Formats: sequence, C-alpha cells, structure tokens
Amino acid sequence: MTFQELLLRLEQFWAQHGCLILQPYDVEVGAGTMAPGTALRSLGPEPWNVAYVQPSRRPADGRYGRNPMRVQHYYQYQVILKPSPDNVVDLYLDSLRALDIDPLEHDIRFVEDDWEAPTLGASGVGWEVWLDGTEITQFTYFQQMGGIECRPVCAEITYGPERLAMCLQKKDSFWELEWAHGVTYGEVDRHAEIEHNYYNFDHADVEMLFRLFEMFEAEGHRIVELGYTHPAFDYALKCSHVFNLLDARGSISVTERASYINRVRALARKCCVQYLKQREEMGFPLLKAQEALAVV
Amino acid sequence: MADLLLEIGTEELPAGVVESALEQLQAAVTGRLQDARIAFGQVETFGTPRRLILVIHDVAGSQTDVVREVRGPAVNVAFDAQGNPTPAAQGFARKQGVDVEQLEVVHTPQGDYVMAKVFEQGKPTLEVAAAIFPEAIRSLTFPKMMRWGNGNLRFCRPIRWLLALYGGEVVPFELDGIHSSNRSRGHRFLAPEEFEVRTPAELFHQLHERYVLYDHRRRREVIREQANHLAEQAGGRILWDDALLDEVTHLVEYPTALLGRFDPTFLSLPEPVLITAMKKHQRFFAVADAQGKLLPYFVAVRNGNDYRLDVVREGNERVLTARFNDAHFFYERDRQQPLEAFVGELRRIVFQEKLGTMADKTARLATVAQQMAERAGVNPSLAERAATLCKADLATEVVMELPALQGVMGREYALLSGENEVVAQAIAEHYMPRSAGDALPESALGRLLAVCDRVDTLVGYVGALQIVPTGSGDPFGLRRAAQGVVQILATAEGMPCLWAIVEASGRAYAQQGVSVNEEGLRLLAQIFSQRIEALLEEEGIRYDVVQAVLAEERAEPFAARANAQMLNALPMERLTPVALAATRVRNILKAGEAVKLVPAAAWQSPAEWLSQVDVSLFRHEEERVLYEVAVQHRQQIAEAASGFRSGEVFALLERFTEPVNRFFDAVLVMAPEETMRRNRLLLLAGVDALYRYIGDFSRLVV
Repeated sequence: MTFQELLLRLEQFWAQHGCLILQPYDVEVGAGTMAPGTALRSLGPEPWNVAYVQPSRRPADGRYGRNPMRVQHYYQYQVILKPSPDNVVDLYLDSLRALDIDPLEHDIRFVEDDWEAPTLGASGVGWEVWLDGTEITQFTYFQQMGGIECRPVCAEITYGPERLAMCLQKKDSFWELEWAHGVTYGEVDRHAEIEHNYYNFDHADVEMLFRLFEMFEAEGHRIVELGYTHPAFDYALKCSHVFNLLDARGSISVTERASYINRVRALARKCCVQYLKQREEMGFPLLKAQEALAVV
Repeated sequence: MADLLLEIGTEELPAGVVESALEQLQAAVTGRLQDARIAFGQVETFGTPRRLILVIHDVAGSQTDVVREVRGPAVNVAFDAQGNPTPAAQGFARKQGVDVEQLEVVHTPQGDYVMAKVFEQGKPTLEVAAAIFPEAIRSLTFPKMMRWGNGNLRFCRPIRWLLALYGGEVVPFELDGIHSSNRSRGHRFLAPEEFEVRTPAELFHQLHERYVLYDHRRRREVIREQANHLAEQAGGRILWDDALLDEVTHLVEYPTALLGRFDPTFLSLPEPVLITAMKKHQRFFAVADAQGKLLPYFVAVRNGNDYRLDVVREGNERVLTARFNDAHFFYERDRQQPLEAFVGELRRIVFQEKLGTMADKTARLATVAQQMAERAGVNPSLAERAATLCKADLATEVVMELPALQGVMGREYALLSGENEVVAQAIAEHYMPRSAGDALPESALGRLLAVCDRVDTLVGYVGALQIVPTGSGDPFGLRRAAQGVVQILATAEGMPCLWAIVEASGRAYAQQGVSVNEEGLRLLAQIFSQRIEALLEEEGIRYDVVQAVLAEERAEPFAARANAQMLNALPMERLTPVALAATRVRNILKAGEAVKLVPAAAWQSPAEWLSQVDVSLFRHEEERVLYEVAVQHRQQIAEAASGFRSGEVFALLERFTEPVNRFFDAVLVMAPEETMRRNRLLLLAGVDALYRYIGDFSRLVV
C-alpha cells in the first residue's frame, strides 16, 4: 500500500463513519493537535467529529535527512471525536483493518502514555499504540485545553502515517517509502528536509526570530482584545513555531525557556477562553447539528 | 450463602496500576460488607489490562438483624409530673417505630434519658451489594484519573462494562450511565463478543476458553516459563528483570512469547545500552549465555496466540534494528569528544528553576566533595574530578535517549576518555542506591559523591526552598534521597559527618547566591531523623532506644546507629542504673528555674560547661567528687565518641552512676544563693552533655 493510498483509505474510512474531512491547516504547527480544528474545537459542548492530514514541523527533531525516521517535517493523520464514543477503540481497530492490518495477524498493544502540550496548556490521558513493536498511533482522551477542562471529553487519534507505511511496506526508512507507485517519500520530501535542517540549525536569523516573536505576540494580544479569536490564535501558533526555531538554533537558554513557553501559553489560553465565550454567546450552534455530526 | 462477583471491564489500564487497584477494590468492598454486617468467606482478585475481578466466596444472603438502642429526650421532658408520656416522648417513639410503653430509661452521667430499642431486619445482600459496588468503584484512586465521553465519573481508563452477580442474579446498579449486567467479554481480538455467565466458576471457564489468562500471578509464571524455554533453545538464559516482567504481565491478556534475533555486530555496543534499549523502548527480555555475556537474541511477548507469529517476530526484529542503529549512531557521536567536553553542555539542563542548572550543581558538588574528601579518606583532587564529571553524561545523546543509563554511560565514557578508574567507578556508583533494596556504592569515592549529590539536592529543595515530601507524595524524590544518605552514612565507616556536609553544601549554595534558612534546616533535620528512625526500626531496635539516640535535633546517622545497637543489646541491669542517674540530671536541668540559669538551648560541649564551674563554691565532698569524675573522663569519652566506640563511652558513663546518685542524695541543687545554684547546675549541665554523647537517657523505658 503506497503512502498516498494509506492516507486516502483513512480519509475514506473516517468519512464513512461520519467525520467531516477537513483540509490541512495553513500555519506551521508542531502537531495536528495545535490546528484550530482540534485546539479550539475540542472546547465546549458542541459535537465535533473530524479527520484531517496535518503536515507538522518540529525543527529540533531534524537530522539533516540522515536518520531513517527522525525528521523536522512529517505528516500526522488526525481524528477528533467529541464526545468520545463508547466504541472508540473498536472504531480505531476497524480503521486499521481498513488498512489491511488484521489484529489477529499482528501484535497490537496499548501502552500507557499520557500527553501534555505546555504551549497550549493542554493535557490528556491515553496510550501509544504499538503494531508489532512499532508505535503507530497516539491515542488520547483530552482532559484540558488552554487550561480549560474539556467537557465533554474528546478522543484524539493521531496516526503516524510514515510509521504505518513502514510496517505495511516493510521498509526501514521514511525515505524509501513508496509515496505512489514509482515515487518515493524521499524523492518528494528529502530535498526540502535537508535544506530546512541547515536553515533551522545553522542559518536561521536569530535576531530576526526574536523580533518576530515579539511582534507576533504583540499582534496576537492586540487582536484578541478586539475580539478576533482565530487570527489571534494563528499568531499564537506563529509564536510557537518561532520559539521552536530558536530552540533548534540553541538560542534559548534553559532559564528563558519556561518563560517563552508561558508567553505562548498565555496567548493561546486567552484565545481558548474567548473562543468558548463566543460560541456560548452564539448559542453553541453545532448543538443543533447533533445528528449530522454523529459518528457511526 | 453464595458467591459475590464483580468484574470491572475497562479499556487498557496502565501496567503499573492493576495490582494496586485490585487491593483497593478488595478493601473497599470487604470493608463495606463488614460495616453492613454481611458475613463472607474467602476473597480473591484477578487483573488483566482490561478487567479487575473481585470474587467473594460464601457471602451470607442478608445482613444480620440488629437491635439498636436509640437515646431520646431526657426523662423529665419525656414524662410529666404524673409520669404520663408527653408529646415529646410520643413523637420520639413514633419516629423510632415503637410503642410509647416500650420506651426504657437509661442512666447516664449527663442524667436519665428515655431509650428505644429498635429492631432492624437485615436487608438482602443483593440490595446491599447494589449500593456497595458503585460506591466502592468510585472510591478507587489512581495516580492519574480521567473522564471520558459525556460522563462525570473519574477513573483510570474508561469503564466499558460491569459484570456484577450474587448467587446467579445480577446485582443491579448504575454507574454514571453504565448498567451492571451478567455479561463479560473475552480477548479484544481473539474473542471480542459478549457472553453471559451466572457464577464465578462459569466466568473463569469462559475466560479460559476466550483467550484471557485472568490470573495475573499465573500469567507472570506462564511468561516466565515460555521465555525460559525460548532462551534455552537459543542456548542461553533470560536476564530476568522483575520490574519488566511485571510490566509485560500487565500489558497482555493472553501471552505468547517469541524469540527474535538481531545482527551480532550490534554486540560491539556496551551491553547496558543494548539491554536498556530492549527494555525501555520495546519491553523485550535480553538473553545471555552461561557466562552472562549477551547473545544476539531477545524474547518479546505478544498479546495473542501463535497465529502468524512470524509476522510479529519480523516486525519486532525490524523495529529493534532501527533502535539499535539509533543507539549506535548516538554512541559513536558521543565518543567523538571526551566526557569533559559535555560538562559545559550542562548549562542547558535545568536542575531546579530557583537552584540553577546542572552546571551549577556540578560546581557546588566539586567544591563540597573536595572539602570533604580527606575525611572520607579519598584523594581531594580525584574527588573534585569525579564530582565535575559525574553529571556530564546527562548531556550525551545516549543518556538523553535512554535516561536510565545515567551513570552507566558516564563510567563508560570516562574510561574511554582516559579518566582514572576510581573516578569512573565513582561516576557510576554515585546514583546508588537507586531504590530501597539496591546495593550501596562499593568505593569510598562513590559513597562520598553519592552522599554529596543527595545532600546538595536536599539542602537546595528543603534547606533553601522549604519544599518537603508530603504524606504520600514525594515528587522530587527527596525522601528517597534522604534515605540514600542515611543508608550510606549509617553503615559505612570513615565517612564525614552528615552535618559537616550539609554546612559545606549550604556554603556552596551561598556562593551562588542561594541562601539556606533556619526553618529549612529544621525541616531537613526532621527528614533525616525520620529516615534514621525508619532504618533503626527496620533493624529491630526498640522504639524507646530509637527515641533516645535521636533526641538531638541534628542526628548523625552513623553515631545514632552505633549508639542504638549498643543500647539495644545491653542487659537491663547495666542499662537501668545509668539511665536513672542520667534522668535525675536531665530532669533538674529541665525544671523552670534551671532553664533560666543554665539555658540548655545554648549547646555547649562538656568541656565548655565544666570550665565555667567555680570549685571554690563547692560546699560538699559529693560536688567535688562528681566534678573530678567529669573532668577526669571527659577527654576519654569525647575521644571514644568521636571514634564511634559506643560501648566504651557507655562503660565510662557507668562510672558516673554512683557519684551522681550521691550528689543528689547529699546536695541541695536549688540552694538559696543564686551563685551556688548556678554553679551546681553548670556542673550538672557538663555531666548531662557527657551523657548526651549517647543520647537522651530519659527517653528510655527502664
């Protein structure tokens, strides 16, 4: 199964089970969780069942394209089910079957792994799911987002499509994966990966990044005060990415680190609080769409 | 009589919580049954990642009946002057469901009251259990709790079914929308469908048929047997790790072990790296030959049967190869520079926000270890070197990847960098003891560094920041750190005094601008004393002896233990006279006026007290004799005490018994003239200080 087929099958599976299929978010994020389709929408009582591919960037994780599975840019397949259905684990296992992974032919394990995203003020409880020893999915029940308790609780299923493809294609490296027939993942992404690595680690303009952080942060606070939550949240994401770049450059000392994380969290939290308030004032419109949004 | 059964069906529980959850569940249900007066027999619990099972055999069909005595209004309120019941009495009787004639009178210290004897018929067990089960489930606590879906219930992972039976009938209850039933489920993949049962025996039979080895003790043994068998096939044996075996036991409902291989060229990596990567990343067991040398095999345990086991093996081998490739890459990278080069990187790792980075900690340790080296009988420059390097491996890639290898990699890299072997050994040993039962460092330098490192942590957290471990919580490992210090110092000879290290550590913090305060030191002294107390009690020392040797606020572990062992072994006919004499001294010094004249709070050595005594004020031969005994022996006692020769100290103190008793019989300490009083109290304070080389004898039960 090619990499693109794998993503298509996941799209199809979750669409068939009642999820909205969103498109990837267009601001740099470290994980699908940070996209507003998860971070904001996981708040409040409105039902929300969605799935999307999210390209993700973690500058410090790059290895100049030399490591078979450590990269600064990769993909996540993100599913959010709110409220988490009673059969959520069974649904997840069915999605693996849709990828021709028969649990009877493999060893599938749920290994405790609690999750925390300090820049979002988010935390959850769940597992990493192992397929024959390889971690293929993070499965999390959100407990908090933006410091706000999640009620109802949503289930977040984050697939690592590269790792899944490695298992299915029996390949030892992301780069060797077949993206489509005759074209490898390496051929599609490695050139950019290597350039980004050199940029992230060696050439990014630190002075500029520090300035950008200040500007993005100020702009975020300014417009959230004006009542524009979504643009403000984008700036929180931009701050987070700039922080990650500075971190990869080794330009943030350990003592400053916590304070930068706190600054991003403060802005993100403001957005979360305001988003929830706005939805409430709107009467939580999606509550009416209860049935249309149900997972089946 | 019938069996009571509860199965809590969950999504996959963390491996570490199952056994504690079973203990809690058993206590919560049986405690409530007892309170509800329901008799029961044997209790069993079983756990898997997906279920907690409680079986209580031979449970009585109902609560025992009781007659409760309920006190009502006072007699003078309940009856009028003619002795007729008042409305108050009638109301009380009605409320208790008895006739007013049946009210009795009780005599109490507060006066006479009417009393109703109320007969309560026991309720059926089915009904009581229906109330007990949900309460008991709600009472379970876990290190981390969660909610799910629309619910409000907090548990460790979502509850998906509740099987609850008594004598074949469903114990009916509802827990946050989940209804109890007579249905259970088998293995998640091999037998996912629901099934009905009526009794525990039926459940166990069905689970057995449906690929659930529900008994965790049995499951552990099955894994052990299978793994041993596979290792034998490979010509080796398993390097057993109990913590790993426990974890694996709770990751699977139906274990099938498999033997995998890896490329033997990886054996060029240090064995701890391979073993730890297998354990921490993959939960694999390592296989070694008869000499204990690692073989290129591993044993993994699958949650399922042996169908397509080859696929599972292949996947596991592939992922292990990737892990080893990573480890190999990191190891080679780390080796490109000497260990010393990583010391600078410690600036990037926080020790504690207010206490600085690991680089700051290293600088403090180097100072303290060097200062304390001679007293520990080690070379000061080696001590400084070991202290400087001991945390460097935290900045290496292998340790960042596998933190459990801290110390182990430090030794490895130190040797590769050409460091002294003593230094390398100390780097590895300074993390010992890693847990309560673990071995202590073997080398003197290892012990010194182990103690200095922990004291540094404790002086910082407790002494400066006043962060202390609470009843059950010890998030920063402070209690464990104190326990390590006490274990090492109490048992190893020739180590510096604890409080000398604490003071040196406090000075090292002060140089970095962090100040230690009195309250913090008091809390620290308490923590140390509690650990010494625990150690001594574990060694079977009598409670009063423990209290006696720990009377001083700042106890020294080695001295306290030596004194305690000596006192504990003494026959009473030797102990009692000394204790009584010492107590006479102590008591008078504690009395109101004595405290003013000779403030005991100002701790002085025996010599300092005795030097203030004015012999010209002596009026009795007994005063002079006691003074002379004290002056004559104080040097010897001090020397024996500083050499921890407790028996010798005690033997010398025995010589004080007669002079002390004669003194008290002949001399009026609280003489009318203040100068005389004070002089006598000073003499006694000196004697008391000599007794206190052992402890506070007045705490002994003699």
